[in-house]
Amino acid sequence: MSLLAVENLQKSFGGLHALNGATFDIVPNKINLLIGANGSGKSTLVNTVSGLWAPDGGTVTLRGEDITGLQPDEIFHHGIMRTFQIPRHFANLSVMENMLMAHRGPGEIFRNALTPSRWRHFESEQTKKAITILESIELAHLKDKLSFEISGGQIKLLELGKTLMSKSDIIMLDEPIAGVNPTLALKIFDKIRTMTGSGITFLIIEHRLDIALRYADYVFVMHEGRIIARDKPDVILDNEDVRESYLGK
Amino acid sequence: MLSHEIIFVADLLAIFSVYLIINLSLNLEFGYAGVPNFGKVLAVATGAFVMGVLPFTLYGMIIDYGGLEPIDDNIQLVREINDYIALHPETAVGVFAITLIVAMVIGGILGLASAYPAIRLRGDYLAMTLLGFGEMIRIIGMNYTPLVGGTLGVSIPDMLSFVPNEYRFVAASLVLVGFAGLAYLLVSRFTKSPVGRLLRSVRDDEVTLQTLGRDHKKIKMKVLMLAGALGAVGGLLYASYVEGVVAFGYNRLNWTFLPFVMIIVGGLANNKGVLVGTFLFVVIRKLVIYYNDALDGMLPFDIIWLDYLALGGVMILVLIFRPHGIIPERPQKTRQLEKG
Repeated sequence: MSLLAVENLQKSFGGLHALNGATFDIVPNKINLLIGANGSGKSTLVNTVSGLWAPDGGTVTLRGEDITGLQPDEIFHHGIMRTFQIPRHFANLSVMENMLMAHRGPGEIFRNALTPSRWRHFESEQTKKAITILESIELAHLKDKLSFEISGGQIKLLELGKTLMSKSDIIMLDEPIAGVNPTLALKIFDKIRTMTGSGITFLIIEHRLDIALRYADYVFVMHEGRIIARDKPDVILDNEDVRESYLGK
Repeated sequence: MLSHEIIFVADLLAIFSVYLIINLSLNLEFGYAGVPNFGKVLAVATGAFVMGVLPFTLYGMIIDYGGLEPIDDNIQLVREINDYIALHPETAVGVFAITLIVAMVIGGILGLASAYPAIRLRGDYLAMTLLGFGEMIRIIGMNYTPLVGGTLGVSIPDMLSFVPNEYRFVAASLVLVGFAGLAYLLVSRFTKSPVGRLLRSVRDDEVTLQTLGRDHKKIKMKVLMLAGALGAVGGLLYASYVEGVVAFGYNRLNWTFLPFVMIIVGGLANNKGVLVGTFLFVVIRKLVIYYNDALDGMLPFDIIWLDYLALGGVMILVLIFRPHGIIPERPQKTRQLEKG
């Protein structure tokens, strides 16, 4: 049984077929890299799988269960988390508060709010966990800054930090190292690589192939709303169709 | 006989308390959750209308009204009930408690019901829908006489009739201050919990919140219900304090827009800011009204405009020099969070 499988997914915006029969299944506990030219449908695919947009046709199944058309919060509860190409964050919350939002705790239940004994311990543990993660992604010194006060690259890191806080086992990252310096970009992929060892599966959209291909286990190539190739990186690099549609000769 | 100063302070504290409760509830909706509830008056009027109806019904179960009707024989009936309360104070406590609970429940339900049709919409459409609901209740109150006496309004029983007349005014003020203090403590505790963070995240980015597993629509509905209940408490206390309900008094200026101004000036998503903004505005308004006569003739415009001009002036100054309010929103520090 596939972990996450997409079958003949369709999504149109007026006359534009952003997804035109996309079909693939991701490889568990691996870094699955999704590449393709701008406008090939990569972000639409992630938006549709994550429930942000309802597909016009096709199915998305998770461990055999049909999750097509579920709302984003329901998709999250199935263990799938995503980040955005243009990072989204809670601008007036601190970096630490943004981190804590990645994991729903007992304190968020309205009837528990006036009884701190029901959530204090959880809150404290999560904060400690968040500090460790922020240290690993070099954001610890900004933990009490409002997130609108930090740079675009740092917001990208914050998004990654949130994925590390969550309990999701499938994580879809939309351009996680865009705007991040090369040293830190390598660190981010090192971190991702480590996480695959603990049972987390990644689907990553990334254009910076010089770095991403070093870490990718499998590469999926999108072209005009469809997956045109799926293989190991070295095989993909030699694929004539891929070279023509995306990599260049 | 109480001095003018004591009456002034007691009245100021009473009005401040009523507005503080209403503003805390609006701050939950707008400051924290980002729901622009332009129909705040709905909850306030609900509380007041319940106070205008239910005590008559409940005392009707205890006392024989002898054919007197709450609306048609209003003054006579209120006098009879007040006489009864003076001899049986315990009944006033019971009736008031039941009325308070019923007002909160109806306020909460109406808060939820008013938001339901538009909860999926973003700010402006939701605001318009809520504005409409706020207008509806005043119009119903003014035109449906059996509710709270239509355009003439109704007097309501004085739940403090057992207090000697001389001290009644101060006693009422103290009761209101007590309720406001309790509301402040509870709301502060509530917003310092992770729920406060959750509400601020709804306001900041619904889409991100959804992708992190929270249903923003449910959260908004819950907060509108909670704030509706709290707003109804404010309305009920105001009606009790002035011992009457006149539907046209529940207008959007006094019970929606002024609360918005107070919380914006004080500082959104900060209960201390709400406290300061409310106090500032109530004091300015009271002072202007108190000195109306003394100032009349000294100004180049009619004195009735003075409090609006003064309040507008304060708002403009604060927005220029403190755009985030007198006490702006503050995130929780990691140090506090680590302690839990």
